[in-house]
Amino acid sequence: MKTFITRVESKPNKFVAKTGVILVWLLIWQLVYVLVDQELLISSPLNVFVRIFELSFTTVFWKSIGISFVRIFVGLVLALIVGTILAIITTKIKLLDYFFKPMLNVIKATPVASFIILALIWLKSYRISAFIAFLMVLPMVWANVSEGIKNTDIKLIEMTKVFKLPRSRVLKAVYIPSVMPYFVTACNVGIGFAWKAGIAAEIIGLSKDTIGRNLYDAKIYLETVDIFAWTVVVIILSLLFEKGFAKAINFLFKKVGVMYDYL
Amino acid sequence: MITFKSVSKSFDGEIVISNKTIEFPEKGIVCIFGPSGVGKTTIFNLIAGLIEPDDGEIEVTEDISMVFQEDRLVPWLTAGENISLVIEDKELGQRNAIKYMKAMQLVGAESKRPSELSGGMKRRVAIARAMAYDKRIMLMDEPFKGLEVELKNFIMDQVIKLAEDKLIVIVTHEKAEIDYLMAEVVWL
Repeated sequence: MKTFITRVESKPNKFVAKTGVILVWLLIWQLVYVLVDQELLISSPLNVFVRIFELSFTTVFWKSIGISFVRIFVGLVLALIVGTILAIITTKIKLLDYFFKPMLNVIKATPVASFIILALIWLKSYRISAFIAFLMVLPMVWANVSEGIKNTDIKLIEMTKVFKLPRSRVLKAVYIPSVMPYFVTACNVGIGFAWKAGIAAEIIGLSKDTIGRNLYDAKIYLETVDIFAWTVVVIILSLLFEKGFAKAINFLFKKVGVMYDYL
Repeated sequence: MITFKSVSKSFDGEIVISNKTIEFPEKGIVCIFGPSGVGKTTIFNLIAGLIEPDDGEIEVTEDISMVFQEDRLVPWLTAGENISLVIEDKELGQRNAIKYMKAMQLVGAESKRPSELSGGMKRRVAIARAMAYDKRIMLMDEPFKGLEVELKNFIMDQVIKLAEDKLIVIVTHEKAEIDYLMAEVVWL
């Protein structure tokens, strides 16, 4: 007779695990703060969260968040639209692929600061963050969506040809669900990039009433706690935006009848 | 309905079909029989218009329905959706999906995705899809592969019934299937 021993490992609750990890990192932060012991170099997590709490009662705080958010959002959405259109036409027309590829490679390789400085010459300061967010996310969306289109199962496409499915149905039932994971990846990575590049553009461009401007001012006046507070705000906004965006895309595609539920 | 005259096709310089002529009747069952690699699936792909011949004449005057060798079910759609997908009218599509799933003894599998179905069930969904598309020509590439004998015979009976007013072309390796279907045979 054989005896089987099965070890059942208890899985920790996801929420508890995540909270635990965050607490550990906050503890490490606090430890570094105590070791460094110079408020000018590093603020304590408590001071930072108290400062965020204080800032949340000011108009400047919400106005800056609103303005930065709208501009970065505009840049991101434009990048998603233009990147997707570019991906569609360059996968269909090889000549256009050859034409656009060098331009997109140049954008990918150029330091973001160079673009910001050029944009300062070309554009008004309030347009810079949207432009930079657009420019940084565009190659990502283009490359990912192109990859998704290329990887769509040719056998399924042949099946739709035999059954003479209308283009709209092929798009909804085959192409969009195939490309979706690539598009979602581009969104997830792109959102973080858009925030980073957008805020950097606001700092260098000294855009009025923006998160970047607040960060710049905090640096000028050596308000380390403010720098940390605004940085934490950007991280939280980026994460919330990422989650909200994924939900919005899911809702949107279900609304137009795309048979897809990977998100 | 199908003209297939002096057709040649090669891939990367390797001749798969050479100057082949096949005469298809207006209705009934035609089995294309032969060992692997003689170009049976290539003939189907040529008739379906998925590939072009190097030489010869192919003309298909009617829409065709097809059971592919590899099922080709859309993985993120349910079995029912895979069937209704090929029917233009949404309501009719849903009705036909239920009807042909019943015919293929797939009741209860409507809302299952292909990954949740066995090989034989996937095959039956592919057959149900082709039947639901309901065209005068149906191409079936090894349709009974992986099916149990009883079920295979049951489906072959349905194919015989369909062939009363349709042309059904079947690729097979099994002599027993040809005998059961009492089909015309094209030897390759």
